[in-house]
Amino acid sequence: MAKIRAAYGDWVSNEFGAGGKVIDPSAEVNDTGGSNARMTFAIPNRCRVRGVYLFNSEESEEEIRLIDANASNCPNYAAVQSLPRVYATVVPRDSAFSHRWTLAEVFDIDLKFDIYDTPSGVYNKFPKPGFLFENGVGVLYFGTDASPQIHWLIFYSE
Amino acid sequence: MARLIMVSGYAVSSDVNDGGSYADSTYQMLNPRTSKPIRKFGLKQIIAWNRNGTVGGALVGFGNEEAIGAFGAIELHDTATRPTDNTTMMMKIPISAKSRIDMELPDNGLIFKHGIYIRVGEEGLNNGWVSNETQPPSGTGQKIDVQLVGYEYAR
Repeated sequence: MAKIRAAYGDWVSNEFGAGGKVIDPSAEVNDTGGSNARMTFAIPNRCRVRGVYLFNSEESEEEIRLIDANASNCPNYAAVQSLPRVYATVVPRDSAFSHRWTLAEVFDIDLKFDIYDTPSGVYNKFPKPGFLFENGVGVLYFGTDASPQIHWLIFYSE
Repeated sequence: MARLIMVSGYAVSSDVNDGGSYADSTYQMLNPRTSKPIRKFGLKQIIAWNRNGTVGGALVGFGNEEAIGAFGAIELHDTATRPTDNTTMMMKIPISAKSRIDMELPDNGLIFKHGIYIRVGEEGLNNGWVSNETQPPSGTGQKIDVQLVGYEYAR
């Protein structure tokens, strides 16, 4: 039975790791094509992805893609378009309620609260043998935030 | 022979960038039968509850600043000694305020050879801990409770 490993990362702390080893924060496509797209090479080698947990605390839902890519075959953002998009999903935003009332255009009242026992994020576990990534896994975001509050946890085997 | 067990603990928000330390926010998982540090553990299921946050609403303004819409990231380290940096980190899991996760890992799960420390993350992932607090909060408000289910392998 294949040994399960975990890869984690987020663009809040810019800490990344895979298989118990820290990944250099610069393991990322530098050229974002003039947008705020980001792609980090989350797993640097051939692997099979068995499960994905994605968490989004941006203001809106965001689409996240897992690209079959590594630093060699994906030197810039233009190259991303030609690489296999193995997995993609839309991640709903963190669950909380917030609303602002403006009274007589004089002052605002904000009411906010967390929605009780409502797990955020998405977790998908895939059937054996899992999705094959020949080159490695790149986590791609192409929204509007330069430092998106997106987090990933990927379970994989090599 | 592997035995199915659950180990439990909690970690409290802190932030090494704001005067806290790794020691402030870490907890070592212990074997429930022997109370000794767990070792050679195949993690199969993660259950966690984030106590932070509020329900029933909170007014923002008028001097009230509740931690709304916060989340915390729980870290799992494979180490026998208290972690001092992220080099022993195996995974980091964000959990929304006043929410739980229940996650089952594929196959036989993830092996922790040396031991398990849990910890709440740093800046931006610290579960709403604000920088003007010089110490981690002593109450229960910013705890993340964690239960790990898995196989303890014979030593």
